[in-house]
Amino acid sequence: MSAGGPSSFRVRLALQTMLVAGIVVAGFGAGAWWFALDQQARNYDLRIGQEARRLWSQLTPRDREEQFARAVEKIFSESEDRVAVTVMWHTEGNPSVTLSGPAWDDANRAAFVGYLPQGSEVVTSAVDADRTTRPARALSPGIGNAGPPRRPIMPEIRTPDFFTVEGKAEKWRFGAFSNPHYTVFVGLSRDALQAEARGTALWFAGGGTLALGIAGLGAWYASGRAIRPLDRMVSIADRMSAGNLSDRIPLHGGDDHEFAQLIGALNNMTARLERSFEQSARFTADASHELKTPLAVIQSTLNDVLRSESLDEETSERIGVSLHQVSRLKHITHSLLLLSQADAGELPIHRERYDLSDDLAGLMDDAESLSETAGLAFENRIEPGVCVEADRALMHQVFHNLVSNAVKYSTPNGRVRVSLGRGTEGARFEIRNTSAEIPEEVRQRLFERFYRAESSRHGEGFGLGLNIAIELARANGTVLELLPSESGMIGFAVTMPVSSVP
Amino acid sequence: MRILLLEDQESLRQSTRKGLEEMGFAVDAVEDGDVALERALAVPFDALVLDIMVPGRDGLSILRVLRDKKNATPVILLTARSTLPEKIEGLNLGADDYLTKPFYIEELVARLRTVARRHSGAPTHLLEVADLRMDLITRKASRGGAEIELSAREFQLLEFLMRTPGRVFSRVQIYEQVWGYGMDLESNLVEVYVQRLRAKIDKEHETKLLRTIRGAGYALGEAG
Repeated sequence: MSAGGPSSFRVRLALQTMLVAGIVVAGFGAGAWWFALDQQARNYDLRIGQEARRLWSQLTPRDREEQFARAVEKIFSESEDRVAVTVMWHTEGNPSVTLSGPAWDDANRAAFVGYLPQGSEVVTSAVDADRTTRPARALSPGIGNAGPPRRPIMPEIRTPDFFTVEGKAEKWRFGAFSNPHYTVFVGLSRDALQAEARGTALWFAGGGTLALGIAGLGAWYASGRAIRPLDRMVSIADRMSAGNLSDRIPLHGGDDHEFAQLIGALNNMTARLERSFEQSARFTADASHELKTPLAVIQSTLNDVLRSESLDEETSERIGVSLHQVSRLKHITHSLLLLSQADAGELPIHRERYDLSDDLAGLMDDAESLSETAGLAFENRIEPGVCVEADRALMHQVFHNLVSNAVKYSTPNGRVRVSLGRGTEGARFEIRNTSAEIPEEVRQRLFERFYRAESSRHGEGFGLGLNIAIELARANGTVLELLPSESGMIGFAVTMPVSSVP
Repeated sequence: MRILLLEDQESLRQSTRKGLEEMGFAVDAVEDGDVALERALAVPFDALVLDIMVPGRDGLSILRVLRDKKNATPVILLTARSTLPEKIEGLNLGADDYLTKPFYIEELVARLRTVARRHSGAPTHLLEVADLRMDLITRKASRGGAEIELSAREFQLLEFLMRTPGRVFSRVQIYEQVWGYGMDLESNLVEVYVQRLRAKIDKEHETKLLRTIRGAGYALGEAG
């Protein structure tokens, strides 16, 4: 179905279905992806809130750094999550914050600080690499201003309370929770979120691919079913030829309306073609038949004149020339009759069993004489006693045309080789002659009606010899074919059913 | 030999009659089937040449009536189209031979002679011109008792010439009748074979049988 060359309708249909399905799946996937991300971000904030509340519940407004560190230790030491906790004391004057915990690279710090009230004092503690996986422990207590609590000021945490800090290595999501004395920042690594998102994405991708595959297979199957009537049409149309227009495409009960219409239209067209073809074939047959009698009368009259005693030599020769032309006309008429009968499938075939080797004897005599005259070497390998079953007269014409062609178109000083033998598929007649290299496109056209290669436009033939030969061979149920290209030789083979009786 | 010719086509009837008369036959030519039957029953002809498609009674039905009446006169049927069923029907009804139009007059003459000889009980497979003999069954030819080796085509050519001795045949006619349709007319096959045949049958003999008639063609034996 999807052979090379022109693209296959079925393949295209399947691909297009997959494309449409792919766009739909991708659209839905993108929407779901965005929704899931959004949902996950919300969940994330909720989790940060939970962590923060756990910490909050351990703290009192008056707690200082020791209590804070203890609480953090208590809550987060067992936590599997990567949590960053830090606190900002609302001291009088500028609030101060100690950044510790996750790897506070410059980018992270700058981003984080951007969320703090202006003028906040930021102290960066040394990062203990070992503790980065447990950032809760990484809190270093203390900022400069130890001493009695001061009157707290309200923190100026910018909305939103949740913000994302983007570092070079990883992203953190922070929540800021305030009371009058301090603000606690709780951060969770976004990497975990992204890992989850990747998982979801994989699910979507897998599911989407599977859905696409199913859509493609479904389209392949459905299109295959849908175009099954086309296969039927192709197989019938392939069998049709000028001589065989009687086949019709069968209409099945399950055919779709559109295909049924198409099949009906094609069948009608074929019927019209068949009618007009039959008419023209019959016309040609009738016309050539009608020509036979007047030609015969002209010929016999000329023959009579030629025989009369009183004729001088010059007149005799002129009548001889006319007779020759009448004979050509008869020959052409006869050929046209044969062809039109073959085309109309009305060639009268009188099958008989006969000794082909014997029948070819006269023709081989001729071939030898003709070859001799033309300066060609003639090689005759006719096996004796090969019997076949066919129309003797028609097959004789086939062999005659092949022999005549071989002698006529052989290269000067070349050779003609004829053989007849019994092969596996029946009697096989082969004839070869030396020939100039024949291009492939010419080889393919050799059997066409009225076709003659440019180089062979001489002699008496009128481009029907090979065409008649192939039509007659076909009508006799035998196969005439061009032998595979050989350097310097061209050859034809006729394969015939052998008569079983010896 | 007296022949009844039934043919409705004027030109063909006239040319056939003329041709047959030239070759020494007495010809009664008619164009209507009923007249033909009447005549055939009244006159003892040596042979009948009947066209199948004619006005009145057609050729096949004349043949049927004759054979029903135990009239065994040899009959050659003429038809425009050679279809096998028609041919078989004709032969089943007792026709002696069958000829498809158009035909050469010599072909008709050769067949008339064959059916007449068969009718009279003479052997039909032996041909003889002067001291030249040919046996169509053993496929052997001899002159003056000495056997002549002939190739397939030479045999066919000699047989053709011996069937109507003395008759002049043009090159074209020999082509058409010995080689059949479709021979390459530009070739000189006829000349080549006539030369070969002449070498085989005439070379060692005083009397030359195979004659060339300049401008007209070839003939075997003396005219007449």
